[in-house]
Formats: sequence, structure tokens, C-alpha cells
Amino acid sequence: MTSSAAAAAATAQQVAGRALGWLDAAVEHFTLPEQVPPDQVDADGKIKPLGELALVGSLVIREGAAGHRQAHIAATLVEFAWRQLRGGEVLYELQRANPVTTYPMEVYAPFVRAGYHHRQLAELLAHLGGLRAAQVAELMPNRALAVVNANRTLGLPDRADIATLTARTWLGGTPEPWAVDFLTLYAMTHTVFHLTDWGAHPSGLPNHVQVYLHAWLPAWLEVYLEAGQWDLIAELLIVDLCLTEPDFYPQAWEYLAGAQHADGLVPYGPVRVPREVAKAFRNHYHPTLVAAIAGTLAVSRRMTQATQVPSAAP
Amino acid sequence: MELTETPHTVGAGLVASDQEQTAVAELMEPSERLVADPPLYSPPASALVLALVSPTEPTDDPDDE
Amino acid sequence: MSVVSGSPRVVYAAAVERLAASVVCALGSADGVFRLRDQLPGSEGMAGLAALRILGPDALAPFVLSGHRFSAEDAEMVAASLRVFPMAAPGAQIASQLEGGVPVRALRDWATGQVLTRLGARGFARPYPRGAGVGRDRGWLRWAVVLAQLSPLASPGVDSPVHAQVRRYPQEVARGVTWAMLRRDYLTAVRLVRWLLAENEPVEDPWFPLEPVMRHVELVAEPNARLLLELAVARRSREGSVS
Repeated sequence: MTSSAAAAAATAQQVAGRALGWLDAAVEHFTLPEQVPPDQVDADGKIKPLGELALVGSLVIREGAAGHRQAHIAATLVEFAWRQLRGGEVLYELQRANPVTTYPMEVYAPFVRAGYHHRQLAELLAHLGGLRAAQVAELMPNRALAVVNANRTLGLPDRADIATLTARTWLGGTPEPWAVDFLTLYAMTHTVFHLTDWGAHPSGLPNHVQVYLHAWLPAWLEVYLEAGQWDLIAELLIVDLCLTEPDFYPQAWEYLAGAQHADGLVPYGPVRVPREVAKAFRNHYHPTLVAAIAGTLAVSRRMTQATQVPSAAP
Repeated sequence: MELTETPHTVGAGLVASDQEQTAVAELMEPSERLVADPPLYSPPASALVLALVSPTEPTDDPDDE
Repeated sequence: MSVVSGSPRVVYAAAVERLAASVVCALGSADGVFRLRDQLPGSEGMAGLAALRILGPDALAPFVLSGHRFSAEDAEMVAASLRVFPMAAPGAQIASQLEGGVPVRALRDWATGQVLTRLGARGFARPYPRGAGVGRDRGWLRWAVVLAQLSPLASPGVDSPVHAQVRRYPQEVARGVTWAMLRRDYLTAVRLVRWLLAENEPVEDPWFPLEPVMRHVELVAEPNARLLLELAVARRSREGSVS
């Protein structure tokens, strides 16, 4: 396991480095359109990618496992995204205009993790989080956990009963592992991401859920490796890295590295990718970003593991 | 129960060709990975669309010129 | 009786379907007479013997699991299928290489001998294939593929090192079931379920319930006789182990 973990981490480091390089080179495509009022901006196509850019940057910074160049890119990406959102003003306006919606707050959280703050937005979120309405929001269970995790990142009090919320998720129910589909697996991965705050707290995953994931992740990985669904593969690899004892899956990492293009782009699936970054961006920024997160966590978890078990070091 | 042996009359004179033997071998041991029909992309649930790092539904890639 | 023409593979596949359907029917009831000779398409011709050779121990399931009387004539039919198809053809070697040297066919023939001996037929017992690794050392996936090919071994009264490994690593087999179900390869899934049913107590172990897998396949899969045969044997084995 130890040598295979080391091999996986070495591959993961390459994948993450290249993916960050592609994101850095493609960053202009994350640009928010000027002169468009915040409430008319395409949230899914424009705001979400900026939040994800901040997420990957904040995690690279948090883990502190990247080399100098990659750490610099990470900081640059967060700074870029923050500037696009006009120092948080866009998120503030969105939240003000749509008090019940949660995504401005969820997008804001990784910026806070990276040390960026917007005072008025923070005040507004503290107020909204204190409403009884916040406790009974009509959200899918894994989405409710996303809000809980964002609250924690923002330092806001959260009265949610995590165990109950977890039990309501697909994963928390530890269902038949074969009764699942593509999108349900995404719900599963997000349950893990939010319960562990992207691998920071593996103990946030109940033990029986960890046992379940050790048992069935190999089967899910195999199915979607064969299908070449690289976006999901990278997410499944993050799930592994959120466990108390990751399995690392060196072969899956090899396949993912093999699917990555020379410029660092990771395709979302078995498709032909346009040569021009401007055209490739729309569909393939996401898997590239996920691969950067997965690679970052793999290197970090491997370093922690090697430090904690000196005798296990190669 | 002990069965009394009978004379070997069934199949007498039949000799399987290489092609026939191979056919039997193939049907006995269906090769691995016969089926490749994994569940692929399904439409996104609207509630997931804005979750960070949830998939963005792919559109058709624009063609290169 | 309709006649299927074409390559040996096409003709034999059709014969296997017919024989499998007859076995399924006989497994459902001990009433009536089940004689191999009556079930073989083309009676004693090549296709019928090929079908018997291909299904191997599973063709004998009505005798083992449903109380049908086994006769010397049935034994002779099996003997003939072994004589006509000794399986030393080039294809045999190719298939063995595919599975990393696991002698799948030799193991199945060994199981046929075990079942026939149990039914009272003499002269069929053969030694367990020497050095028969079962592929688990190459990971759960390769092992699952081999186990599925060896599903006729997962029959009552048959035991071997393969069975011992299934008893020891049931979770890896269940992983194979999950993999196969998600690929909609229901035949492989049910073949692996057979192993889990045959080798694990209690059969309703809640960590991976098997009844929902079988019911799901029954309701969702495109039915074909070989799949139905695997399901029927699995269900009968399960009833046997419960009682």
C-alpha cells in the first residue's frame, strides 16, 4: 500500500501541476462580463466557475503541499476570481437581491478560506443564517450539507443536526451499491466533500460510511474508468482522499494522467476536445479543476501519511 | 445409487472439428467484458446545478474550424 | 423442432438456449420425467452434445436440486459429450491464456465429475487440476471474471480451494456483483451471486442482500435461457441451504 500510495501521489502531483497550469493559462475565460448587473449574470455559467476557481485555489493554499510555482498560481487564481466579483460586491448584491438563495454564500466560503472578506456580505449572511427559515430550507440532503459546511467555513453558528442530515443523503443510507447512477454518484461525492470539508476532517465521515466507501469505491471507479468519465473519476478519487485511510488507487491515477492533455486540460469524458482553449473551456474547465483538487489532496494526504508513519516511508 | 454402465453408443462416430471444439470453448467461457453499457451522463437535476464542483452539463463541443 | 443453421457457434448457442430452458423447467418441478436424451436438440447429434458439454454440471441440476431420477442413460449422454468434445482445441489454450492460466475448463470438468459421482455414476471423478490458481492474486476484478466463468462449481456438494477463497473474501465477490450490475452484465452478476449464495451463511447477510439483486435482474434484464438457468440454480441452491 505504501509504495502504491507513493506512486499514486507522484502521478497525482503531475496531474495537479499540469491542471493548475492550464487553469492559469485559461483564466481569462473565467472573466465576468462587464456592464452586466449582478442579478443578470449567468450564475451557472459565470458565477459558479469563479467560485470553483476560488475553491481550488483555497485548497491548494490550505494544504500547503504544492511547490512554489503552483502555490503562486493558486493565490493568483483566487485573487483573479475575487477581482472579477469586484471584491465580493457581486456576491453581496446577489445575496441582497435573493435572500433565500444559498449559492452566493456557498461561492463566498472558499474566498473566506483563502483570507478574503466582504464586511457587508458577512453581516447579511449572519442575519440570514439566524432566521428560522434557514433551518428549514427546501434543499436536497447533500445540498443542505453544502450549506452547513459553508456556514462552518464562514464561522457562522450552525444549528443543523449533521447526523440526521447525513442519514437523509443517499450515501448516509448506505444503499445497494449497484442501485446508483451517474448523477447520484455526484450527490454521493458532495456528501463526502462537505462532511469532511474537502478532506480536512476525515473524521466527519461516520465509520460505517467509511467502511461502505472502502468496499464499493473500487467497483464504481472501475465502471467509470471503462467509460472514460474523467470528471467523475477525479471526484471519486477526491472521495478516497477524504477517508481516514485513503486507498490512493494508483491505477486509476495512471489512467487519469493518461487522459490528461499535454497542456494540462482534463477532458470531462470520452469526447473530442477542440484545440482552441476558448472553445474547450466551456466543457472541460470543470474536470481540469477537479483534477487539480484531487491531485493536491493526494500529495497532501500522502505527505501526512508518510510523516505519521515514519516506518512506512519508502 | 450405483449406476450400471451402458455401452458407449451415444455419439458413436462423431468427431468434432477444430472449429466445432472452439465454438464449444467460447460458449463455455464467455470472454470477459462482453457488455459495455455503463450508465452514462444523465440530465442534471436542477437542484444540483449550482453546487460547487457539481458537473456542468456538457454542451456539444464547438467544432474546430 | 426448429432447426438452426449457420456456424457451429450459432447452432450450438441455440442448442444451449433450448437445453437451458428445459433445465429451468425441470428445476421448477419434480413432476414428470427429466431425461437428458429427451432434452437435447437433435437428440444425440453434435449440437445436443455440445449444449450438454457447455452447460456441464448445470445440465445436471434437476437431478441434484429437484429430485429427478438420474439414470445410466443420462450418465452415458454426459460421457458422450466429453468424448466428442475433449477440448484440446486451439481455442482452449487461447482462453486459458486470457485468464492468466486459470484452467477454467479443467475446473468445470472436475466439477462435472464431482456432481456425477455424487449422483452415483462411476468413472467420472478426476483429480483436482494441479496448480489451479484462481486469479485472485491479480485483483478483485480479474478474480470476479474467472469466478463468473466458474459458476457451475457453485453447486451443492462441490467444494474446492476456489470455494474456500469465496468464503474468505465475500466482499470482493460482492464488489464484482456491483461492477457487473452497473455494466448491466446481468449474467456475470447472477453467476457471482451464485457463489455468494453457495458459500456464505447466513444467506440474508444484511451487508449485501442478495435477494434484491436476483429480483432486480428478474425484472430488469432481457431474459434469456442461460440467465434464467443461473437464476433458477441460484434460487434452488438458496432454498437448499435454508432448509
